[in-house]
Amino acid sequence: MEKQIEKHSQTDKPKDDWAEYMLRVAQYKDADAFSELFSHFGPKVKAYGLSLNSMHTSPEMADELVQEVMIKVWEKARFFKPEKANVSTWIFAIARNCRIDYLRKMKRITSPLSADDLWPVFEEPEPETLTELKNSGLQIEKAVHNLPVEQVAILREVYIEGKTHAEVAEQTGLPLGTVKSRLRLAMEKLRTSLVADPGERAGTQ
Amino acid sequence: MTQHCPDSQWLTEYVAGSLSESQALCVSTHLNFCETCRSQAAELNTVGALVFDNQAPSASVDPAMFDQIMNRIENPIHTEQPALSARPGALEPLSAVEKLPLAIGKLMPEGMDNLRWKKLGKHIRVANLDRLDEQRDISLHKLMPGGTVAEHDHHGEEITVVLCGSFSDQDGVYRAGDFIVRKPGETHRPMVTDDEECICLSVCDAPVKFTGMFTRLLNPLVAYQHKH
Ligand SMILES: [Zn+2]
Repeated sequence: MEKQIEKHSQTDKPKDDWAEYMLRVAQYKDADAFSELFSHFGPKVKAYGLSLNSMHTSPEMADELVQEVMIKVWEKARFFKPEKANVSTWIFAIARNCRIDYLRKMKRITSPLSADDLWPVFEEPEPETLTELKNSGLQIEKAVHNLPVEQVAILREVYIEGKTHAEVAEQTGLPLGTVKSRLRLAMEKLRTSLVADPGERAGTQ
Repeated sequence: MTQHCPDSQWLTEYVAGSLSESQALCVSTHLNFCETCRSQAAELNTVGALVFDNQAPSASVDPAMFDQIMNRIENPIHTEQPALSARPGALEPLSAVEKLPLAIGKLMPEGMDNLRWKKLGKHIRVANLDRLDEQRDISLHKLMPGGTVAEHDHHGEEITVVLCGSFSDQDGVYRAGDFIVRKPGETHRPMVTDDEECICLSVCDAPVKFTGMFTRLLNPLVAYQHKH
């Protein structure tokens, strides 16, 4: 019998707490902190794996992805810079790269480069313009929930299912221009709802 | 300062991981040069993470997996061959370009001078690099000062990223870092503008015959009339 891991209350923690867990893993190899990260991010990584628009997608692949990602989180914890990015941004990038490498393995593509070479995660400092988006905790999630359904749907297809714009257009029957404009609108909405709500952000800290 | 950038579709597909490896090589090379696109990509990455974070909590993970993970961490099996690394000096001829991504260095472990450069006319050298995916050819183009490429069109999509030096065509001047996409059927006639040589990374839908494209160059003074 599988026990569901649903520590949903943890979603309500300010993002900084996850950064503290990361630092504990980086500095002290703290397995308890790592276990908390696993409980929270494991199901997200698995859902991300299961959502991939590919013939290679399977529950086994998704479980393997969770393991690969968590091992990388452990091994690369020292590269995590809380002042540069929040934990979920960092783990999303790791999950994307692990998923790409998994697909390459399935397609038997041999190459001197790994996804980390082409999508650098571990050295690239993120630019300062992101400060607005970082550490803003709860209302970031609210911002996503406030988007119109069709914008959330298209963000999902692009970022989670890994479809190209052309694939989204083909599968939804929407013109490519509509795909692009929905993405742009979603982006603008997210940006304004994050910037327009400074009072609430201060309240979460 | 870079003038020619990948558009938001390119950047989004890059961040979402849906570009092919060789297309990603071009975008990541551009990002090394261009701060504006870097910060745009970082913002898109944050958007991706928001969606990632807000997935419906439907997937359950067996808690026992945690022990498996710890076990793998404590007993690593090194099945993979050691990662190929760029030989020191692999990019020597480009040492003036600090911003060159390591990834390109890894594609030429013996160094740029030891690539098999093919002479195409007086002013052009082309060296093929190993493919990263089945669909596209990757190569470096070296254009000598004064070189002109005969007007040619493209059989597939071609991405060019300038690594050093500059060239121009009827649409403008392209400098280090610039990202240029040519669609099939577009014709252009590049020209090296400066006194220094110009080196470009090029990714083409395979198969494109470079020789077909460049051997027309034999006399740059003869206006080449392309037949479609
Ligand atoms: Zn740019």
